[in-house]
Amino acid sequence: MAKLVIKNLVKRFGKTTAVSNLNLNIKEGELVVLLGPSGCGKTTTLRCIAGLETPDEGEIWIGDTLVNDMSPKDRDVAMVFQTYALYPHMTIYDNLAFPLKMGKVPRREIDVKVKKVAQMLGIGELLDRKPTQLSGGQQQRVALGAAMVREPKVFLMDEPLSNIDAKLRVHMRAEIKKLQKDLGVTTIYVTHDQIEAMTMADRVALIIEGTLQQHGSPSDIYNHPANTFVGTFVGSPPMNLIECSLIEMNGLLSLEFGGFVYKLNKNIVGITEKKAGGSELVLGIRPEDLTLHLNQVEGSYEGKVSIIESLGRESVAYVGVGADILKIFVPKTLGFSVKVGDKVWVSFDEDKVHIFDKKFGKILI
Amino acid sequence: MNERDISQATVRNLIKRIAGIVRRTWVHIFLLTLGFVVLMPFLWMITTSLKPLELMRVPPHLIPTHFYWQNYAIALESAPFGRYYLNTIIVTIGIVVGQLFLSSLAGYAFARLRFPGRNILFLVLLSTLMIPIYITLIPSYLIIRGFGLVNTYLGLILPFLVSAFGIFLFRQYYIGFPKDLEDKALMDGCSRLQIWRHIFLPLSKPAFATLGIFAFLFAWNSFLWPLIVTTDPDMWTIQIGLAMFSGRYGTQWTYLMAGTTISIIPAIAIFIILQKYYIKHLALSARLG
Repeated sequence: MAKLVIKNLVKRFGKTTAVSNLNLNIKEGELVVLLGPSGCGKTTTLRCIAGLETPDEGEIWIGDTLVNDMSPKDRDVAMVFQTYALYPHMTIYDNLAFPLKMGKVPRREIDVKVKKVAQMLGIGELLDRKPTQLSGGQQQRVALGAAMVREPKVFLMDEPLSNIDAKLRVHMRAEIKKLQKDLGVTTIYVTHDQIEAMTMADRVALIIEGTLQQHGSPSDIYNHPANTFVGTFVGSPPMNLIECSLIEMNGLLSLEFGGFVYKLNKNIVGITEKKAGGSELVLGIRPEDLTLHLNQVEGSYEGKVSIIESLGRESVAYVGVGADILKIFVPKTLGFSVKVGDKVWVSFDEDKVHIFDKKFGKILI
Repeated sequence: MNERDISQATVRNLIKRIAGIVRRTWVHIFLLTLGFVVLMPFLWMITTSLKPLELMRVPPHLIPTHFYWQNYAIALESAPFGRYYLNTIIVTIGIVVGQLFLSSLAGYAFARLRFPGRNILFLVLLSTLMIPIYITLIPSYLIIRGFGLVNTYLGLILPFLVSAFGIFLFRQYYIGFPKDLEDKALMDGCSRLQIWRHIFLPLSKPAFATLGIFAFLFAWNSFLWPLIVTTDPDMWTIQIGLAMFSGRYGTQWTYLMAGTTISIIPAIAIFIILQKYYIKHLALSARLG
């Protein structure tokens, strides 16, 4: 168990910068998820921590030790690979025992540890088999076990659930989370799956194009996105973004988009005035913070339903308002009465409106 | 379905089956012919070894009318073949083990380690495949003589200890290995040499079998180099011993063939033992890649 600090980490491959000036502070025993689209530099960051890549700049601290120049084996970290990387010629027992054998642990102690881990993961029956004789889920457990058996200071997990089927994934998500809490080992978990990130993480670090966009608790990331990237990456369907301009009307500030005007309430006005560099802004609002009406109500905007997407439990309506298409959850009370081509009205939940500046996508309020 | 339809269907089926049989027959005839072409020299070798010495008959016949088993005894007594056999075994083991060990290590380095000049070095290595052995024969001899290794096992083995082909084979084999396996081993605390020893070595049986067969055949059959580097009959290998039957005034074919038959037994045995790995190599390289 140890805290992990990453300071100004930079990693380049030729001309491309995979990780750019990354700072992360991970507390002892915490599970932090590095979330981002593929190729965003999250796996590279993980490999830098593991010692499989050498950073071009910056420092990596595990506990109170600067590990930049240490070889992977001396860092006391264990990694679970996306492909599991089980040694195909060894039995499951030998796969679990291998890291200990390399660490010159006495044979009797190895036996005790291997059996303990196997029991914890429910793979005690499989110890004599070879990896190819195991199902994907079983292989995944062995891979976890091979990382656990060494009792490392830090766990690194590189998309460990991406190769197993959806049902098992949900189960393993909870199981890994529980194991991590029981063992109390600081864990860095890489994934591109936002649901995994939201359900498992103590804190999420969202990385896009090698740059850390936001680092906070899952609810923080969801409710207070730092910029438009975060707003649209997390949440499904993603946040609606409406380009608009700040105008003054009758002495009050408003946002104007596609012929419509959204009046800012006083609370918002103060902050917006202070921060807004220009008058070009982006209004962001999540689909669940919009309400669909069949009749005009006060402060609502007229639109036309262009697509209805059923998600099973609920439906999402794509409503054309002005030049924008807004994604809105269809309220259960309306059920199937909303049809494509219908004229509808949309109202905003004022407390849930996010305003970003257009140039950098940064949050204003 | 009336009777006519049924009979038509039966006829169609029959035609189909006959066509299948004809096709298969052709394939078998083709394969049998190929097999015969490959086997013929072996058959000729064995029957010749059992014919009387004055075998030049017109027309020649494949199966002798009388089997002269004593040809084998005469051939074996005419020279110290036991000694030649032993020499050949020692030299062959030296070359095969050396080539397997060094090719595997070098192949690993070329496939997996990043070091300056790696690609150029590899190209240089590959280009040595284009140099015929006859060009290096005299320099090799001068070097071996310089070391005082003429008429020694070391002198017979040393020039063939490293094989560019073997290094190439192992490099190609190792390049297809999953990178994660190696990263995992690194994190599990292996040094580079331990990764080779614990991960790559146990997983490369097919490559070992392939190169093993090639190296064995090469070493077992090599003639020119042993001829040059040995002057002492005690150091001769079996191929030189066999050449004794070809004299200036003619060849004693029956004895030569008797000796040859005995000499190729280990080669055939090795191939039969290793062929399952050798064939597996092709399948595995497809899967790992």
